[in-house]
Amino acid sequence: MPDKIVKARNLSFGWRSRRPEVLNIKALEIVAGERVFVEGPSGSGKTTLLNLVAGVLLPKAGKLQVLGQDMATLSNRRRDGFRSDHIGFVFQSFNLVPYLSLIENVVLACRFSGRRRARIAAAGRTPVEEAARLLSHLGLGDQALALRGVNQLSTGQQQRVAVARALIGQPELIICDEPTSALDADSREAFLELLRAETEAAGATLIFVSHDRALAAGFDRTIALPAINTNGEGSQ
Amino acid sequence: MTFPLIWLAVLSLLNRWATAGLTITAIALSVGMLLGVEKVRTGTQDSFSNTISGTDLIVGARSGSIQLLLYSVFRIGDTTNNISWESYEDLRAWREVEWAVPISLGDSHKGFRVVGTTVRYFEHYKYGRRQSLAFSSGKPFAGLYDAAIGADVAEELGYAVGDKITLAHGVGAFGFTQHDDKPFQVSGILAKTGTPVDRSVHVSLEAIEAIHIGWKDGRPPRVGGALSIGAAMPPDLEPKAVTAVLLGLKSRMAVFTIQRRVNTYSEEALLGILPGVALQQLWDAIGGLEAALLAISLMVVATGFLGMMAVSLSGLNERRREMAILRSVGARPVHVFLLLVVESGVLATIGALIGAGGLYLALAIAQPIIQTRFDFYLPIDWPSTWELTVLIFVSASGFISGIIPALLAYKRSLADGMSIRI
Repeated sequence: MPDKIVKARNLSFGWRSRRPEVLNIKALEIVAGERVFVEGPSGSGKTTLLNLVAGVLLPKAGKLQVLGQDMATLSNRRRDGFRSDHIGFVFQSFNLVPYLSLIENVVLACRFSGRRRARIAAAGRTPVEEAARLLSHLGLGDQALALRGVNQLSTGQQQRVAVARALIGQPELIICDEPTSALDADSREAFLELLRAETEAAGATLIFVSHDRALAAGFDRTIALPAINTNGEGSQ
Repeated sequence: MTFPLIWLAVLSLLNRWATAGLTITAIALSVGMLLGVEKVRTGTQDSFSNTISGTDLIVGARSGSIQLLLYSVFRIGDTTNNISWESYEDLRAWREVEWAVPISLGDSHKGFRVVGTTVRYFEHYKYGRRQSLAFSSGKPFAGLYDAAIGADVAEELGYAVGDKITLAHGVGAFGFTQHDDKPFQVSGILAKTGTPVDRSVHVSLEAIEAIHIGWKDGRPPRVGGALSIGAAMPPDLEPKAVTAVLLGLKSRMAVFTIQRRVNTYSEEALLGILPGVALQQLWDAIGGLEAALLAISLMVVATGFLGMMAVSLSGLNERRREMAILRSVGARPVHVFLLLVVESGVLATIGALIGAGGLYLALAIAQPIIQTRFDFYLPIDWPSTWELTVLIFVSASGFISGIIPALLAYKRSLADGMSIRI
């Protein structure tokens, strides 16, 4: 595993060439195994940064390496493949495909990734077995067996299914985009604890994005995005 | 990529079963209608073009070929001229002619046409796939005042073998001169054929002559001038003229030669027509309705597809999140595109299959009813090439009409990426 999971130099992004840039980052480094809290208010470029790291968006200028791979040099197809192989996502809410069962929602991440399937196979399991194992490990074993639809789950349970999907097949990087904002205070704490423990056990790097500074405790490092983003307003 | 998009598409459709079900129903109904219209069209055309078979040539006085067909086969309209008995005898004597059956029209019985002919008519008149006429009861006419009636005549007028009937001069139901001085006896009732034979009263040519003895220029004889039954059996009842002649040839190869010979016959102005050709001409003239129906059903199918596209497009917004999730686990925009195309294709294919299946089910149920009520046999065969083509076409159109919503979803998916804040 390369030492630097994310490495950005003079990274900038804007939707149109003449429009002001949304993001302009001189330098950013996240090393393997780190659990990083990225903090910033709405509009500070959090989602843009995540889309860049995920390879959904391409930088306008500058260099961005993810797991040592220069994202700009990959074709669209390779970037989509790279994402499915190496990055697991947990979104704010409604993370699940409504017409798939719990198990299928977790297995979905393997359907697009040969690497995740290969890792599960190397452990001597099938994707469905691995999904069931992860779900029961996350305290959803009973629900995985009993329920067909994911809409019967509570929001907290849905977020845990999303964590299982992010973790399945051991991707190197887990990205969470405000995953706790739909949870109440109690389940928020429990969810954060679970997330940190699971990513550590999986040996994955965690990037956790939120506007809520109160959540920063328990992370290795906090990056305040407004401080490093020197876009239009910030550079004045 | 071995990703089972069809599996995902089917699950997604099942999740939206209400709209998916309605879309399938709309497509199934339109496909069923399209196939049904075509089935009825080919069925009626088959039945129509098989009104008469086995007859190589119909000969009448010179007029139009459709007119000759109308009065000789369909018993619609009136003859302008007759053929002389001598010409008939001439035709019959031609070496290529195997048989000749004369028919004489002009009288009626309560709205049903009376056909004067010979007993060989029952032997040589064929319909459908060369089926012969059969008697459901009784036998052909034997005596001078015997009549063999069609199935509809017997059913509508409630006649049985042995009943007495009176023929009328002319072809209306009422107000015409009755030949009530010479009643006929029903000798036999023909089995149902689904052709104009069902609505005909068949008597011998001699009987036609006998009831018109003493008539002059289409007017009945003066009182006292008519002959009684007994008296109307003079030795010489040889007809002077007939309306048309059905010809059967020894070899079908000779049909054009004989037709030319008939049309250039020097003694009298004659017209010979090939029944199949004339039937086709007549069908072309009257078959436009079915073509219009077919066009309408094609439009109904197109409407079904527009409905499906509208449903698919209106559902895109609420599916943005689903697409973003798929993107986050590595689905490429082209997967999002294909998912929507496959969904449309699956809907259309299921709709087409249900439509076709429903039509065959309906046919199986309705076939006996149609046959007894409309004298019309709708065959239940294996799907024709045309029907299979329609099914493939509908299915393909489903995939194609999924392209527009799919393109939209594709573009959005590129722009949205994984931002799923709605």
